Amino acid sequence: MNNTENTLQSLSTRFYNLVTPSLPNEWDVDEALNALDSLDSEQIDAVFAQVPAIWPVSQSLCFSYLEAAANVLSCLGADELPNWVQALLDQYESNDLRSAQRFMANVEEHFLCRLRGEKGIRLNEVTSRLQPYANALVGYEIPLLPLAGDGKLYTDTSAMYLPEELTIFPKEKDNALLYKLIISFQWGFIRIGTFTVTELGHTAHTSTDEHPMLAVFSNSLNPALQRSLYHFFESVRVLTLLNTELPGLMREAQPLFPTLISEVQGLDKHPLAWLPQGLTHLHWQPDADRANSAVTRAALLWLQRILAQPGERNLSSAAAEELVQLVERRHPGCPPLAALIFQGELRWHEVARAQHQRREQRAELFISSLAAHLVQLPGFRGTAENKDKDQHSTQTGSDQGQDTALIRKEPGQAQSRQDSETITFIQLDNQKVVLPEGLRQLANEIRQDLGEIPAQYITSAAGQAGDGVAALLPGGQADEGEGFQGQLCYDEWDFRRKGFRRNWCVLREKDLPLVQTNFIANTLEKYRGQIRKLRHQFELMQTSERFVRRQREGNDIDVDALVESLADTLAGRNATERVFVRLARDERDIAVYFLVDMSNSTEGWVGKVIKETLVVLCEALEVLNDRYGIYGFSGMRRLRCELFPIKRMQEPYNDAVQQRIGAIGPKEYTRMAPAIRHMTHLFKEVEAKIRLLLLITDGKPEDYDDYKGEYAIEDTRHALLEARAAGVHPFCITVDRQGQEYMAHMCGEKQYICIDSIKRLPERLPQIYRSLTT
Amino acid sequence: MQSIRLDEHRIKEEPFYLPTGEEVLIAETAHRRGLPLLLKGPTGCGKTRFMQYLAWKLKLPLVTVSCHDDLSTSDLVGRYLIRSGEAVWNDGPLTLAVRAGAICYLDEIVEARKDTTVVIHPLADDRRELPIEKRGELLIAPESFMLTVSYNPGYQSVLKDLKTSTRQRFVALAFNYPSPEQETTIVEKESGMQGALAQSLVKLANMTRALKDSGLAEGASTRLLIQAGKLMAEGIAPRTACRVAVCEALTDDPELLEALAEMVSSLF
Repeated sequence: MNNTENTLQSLSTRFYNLVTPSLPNEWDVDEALNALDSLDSEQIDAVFAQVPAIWPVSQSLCFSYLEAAANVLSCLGADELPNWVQALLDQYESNDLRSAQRFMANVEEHFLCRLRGEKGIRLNEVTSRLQPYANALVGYEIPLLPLAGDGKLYTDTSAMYLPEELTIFPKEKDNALLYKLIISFQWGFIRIGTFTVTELGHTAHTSTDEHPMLAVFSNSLNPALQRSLYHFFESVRVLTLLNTELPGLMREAQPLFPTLISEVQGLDKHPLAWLPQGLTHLHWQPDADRANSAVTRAALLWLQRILAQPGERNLSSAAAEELVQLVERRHPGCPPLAALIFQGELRWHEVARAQHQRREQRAELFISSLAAHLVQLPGFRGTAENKDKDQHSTQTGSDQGQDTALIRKEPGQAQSRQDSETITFIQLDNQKVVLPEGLRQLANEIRQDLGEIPAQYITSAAGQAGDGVAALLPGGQADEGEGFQGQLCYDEWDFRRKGFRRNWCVLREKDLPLVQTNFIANTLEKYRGQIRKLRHQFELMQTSERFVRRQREGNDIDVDALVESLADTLAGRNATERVFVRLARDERDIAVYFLVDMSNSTEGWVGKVIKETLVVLCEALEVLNDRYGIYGFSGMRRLRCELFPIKRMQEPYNDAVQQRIGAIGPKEYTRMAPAIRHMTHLFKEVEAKIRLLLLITDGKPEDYDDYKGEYAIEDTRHALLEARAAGVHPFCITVDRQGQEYMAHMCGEKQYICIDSIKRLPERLPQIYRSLTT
Repeated sequence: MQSIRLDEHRIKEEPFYLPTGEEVLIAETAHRRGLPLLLKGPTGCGKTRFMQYLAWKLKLPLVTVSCHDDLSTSDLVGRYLIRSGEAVWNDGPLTLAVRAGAICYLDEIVEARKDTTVVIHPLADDRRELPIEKRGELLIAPESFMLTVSYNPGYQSVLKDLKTSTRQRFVALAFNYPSPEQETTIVEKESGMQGALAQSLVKLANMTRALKDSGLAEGASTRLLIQAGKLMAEGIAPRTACRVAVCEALTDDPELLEALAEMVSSLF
């Protein structure tokens, strides 16, 4: 090329066109583009094709990419470039620019080997199948999380912390197998009870996060060595467990062991190096020069005992203690024993902390659930407001002011502390409070952990419940004219803990006032044509149960056909066999609830159109025999979720319903999930082949408190899943323009529709209803 | 002719059944006192086998009806049929069992429509009678007649819950998967395979049952284990047998299948 200048000029113009409207520094651009000099025009096209993908992610990454492109294309074909850029962006987004640059620098190692299947494997590539595997092994949900920093892998019994990537073996398959081995091995520690210390007395009571085993080690001559030896002997027990429980895994993992042993650093000098070397085969061959030492003989003896009684968990700590004393005599200050990768390390502080955390979570959950349960009880007015005595059913008004909380077990077993006895009720202010199933389980978990239910759990629950009752007392802040109907508690899904907050939301049904307006008349006039058309369309959908006559078999005899048949026989003609009637039950057995968002964001014409839509829809639905109900929802905070019945399922569509539609107006927030759960609850009373829940909303679920974002979406999603599990078909209609972003996740693919123009709602909703139910 | 049909329902050889509690005693007592029985529990945990065992023990014919949502009252009680120009009454299985004083077992009762299940109400209380409206006949059940129904509270969801008026007529026995030791014995006995493999199969089942909240509708049933065991006893490789008889039978979800395959490859 003789006019490089010119070419550079044209490249630069192309580049600026690609990145418009940004205007990067010309000098940077020229320098980056200079590097493309050696490429032919086809290659340059390929390189430029990726710029729009990289530029918005990072401009500096894009310049580095252009500079590296020539080098990269010397290893890769132009057709592989898009895949490589994909991997590059992954690298950048999950790490940083520097690691992306390292990735670019070595195409061979970082990309091509992987294409050939020779590569390490990342944790997130295996979690989809190993997460359920781990859960199934452990018996509860145990997240597999990437290990932060450079430490060794470990489990704190609530989660497993694993390396983000394993590259020990050249083959991806072997590294994946190593992940599985690691998970199974760490499960082994949980299973054999490495972390549970019961024989040291009731240490579980202590609230500190010091693990009792640490006290054992700190008394040792060489704590680090003793810890590592304890770890080693426990690993022996885990391996014996794995050999019997998971023989398939151990057989497959056999070829990995030599490499894993060779990976261990600093084994050669250690006087006990032969111990970890024999671990994988559970067969030990002490070095010849040490074979007769006291340490070796003691170690072999202990190993023998442990192998003979792998279930005996005191042996490991006794073995570790004795060996440390022997080793210290000959090699004072001996370093700790190195461990194989799958052994990880035992992090006592983390284990203690996780146990402590679980205990706190259980306490919090127990207190809030019990409080919500108490609020719900008829006659409970809270210990904080004990002034109105008449609410207390018992005659013991004298012990007010001090909450007497007693824990009662099943009668007959009061003395024994066995697992079989279950807590079924608690005693509060001389009232027997029977615990519901979920709480009962929780109470028993707490009892298993602590030996009893601390009295303050119950008193604080009673206190919370008292506050809750005060906040909920009717009259106070309730709007004038809105009737008060009684309340229900619903669980709320907390995605962070992957569990329910029991009885978290208190929901009430409130009547809307009847409002006389000419809104209905105006709407009927406005949509006259459309309503007529819809009624006609809906009439076509109507079918009812009917007898099908002249069938070969059926429930009853078709007398007409039989008479004919007998007459035919007498007349000597061929008689028909079709002499039965059958009841055909292909009728529309549909019940539907419409759940309408009444949050304050519907103020203005959004709310008006929703109201008009409801009128149009009711008019059309009246020609069908489908049962339907309409409810509006709103509320503020978890203790005041409100549901406004506009038309109950059994109620006919009449003036009162029309007036209530007229009274729909913007209220407060959008806590959708309790309303959905309530509708699911209402559906339990409804018998129908198809049960449809149509949700009409204008935005994301959100409430005044922390109920927003991912939490709110996950809770709503879960409420919809529960509805589906209860045999209800939920379907969401949103007029939120951003709806596409979250609706698919919240409601499920094809279970929602975003309407871009609110004006089309009155026309679209009946259409949607029609297509959903035919 | 009907007696021949009923004889087909007699169970001649003792079926293998390993009691897990007092269910045999309770069922026998219920039979003696004319009480109907409700068996509930997950699929494949031994409800039907228990009925066979009970019928054998009481030396009564067992008339089983698998309920479905098109089952009509006539399908249970009976109907007129046309035979050579005449309308002939034909007893349904329920009537047949009542007449003969047999055990009538309505399997998966919730699958039947609710208007159909109402027909058993007069049979399931102290009246113990079956009105046959079409014939104008009122059948009084003999002492040996027993009505039993089963349902699976787990998977049918509330859509097919049992009506309160129906369920409150029964003595209810809850069935669940047996303990690992018992389940191992059952799998060995039923499939004719060796001990260690049977133990691993039971371990696999318990692992899948722990996955109930992670996407599996229900864990592997004892029945599936026996089927896998039978394949193994015939020489099919354990991993293959587990894949075809357990994993693939449990789910279609590719990720769960992979997870199940990991469990199988660990255990076998």
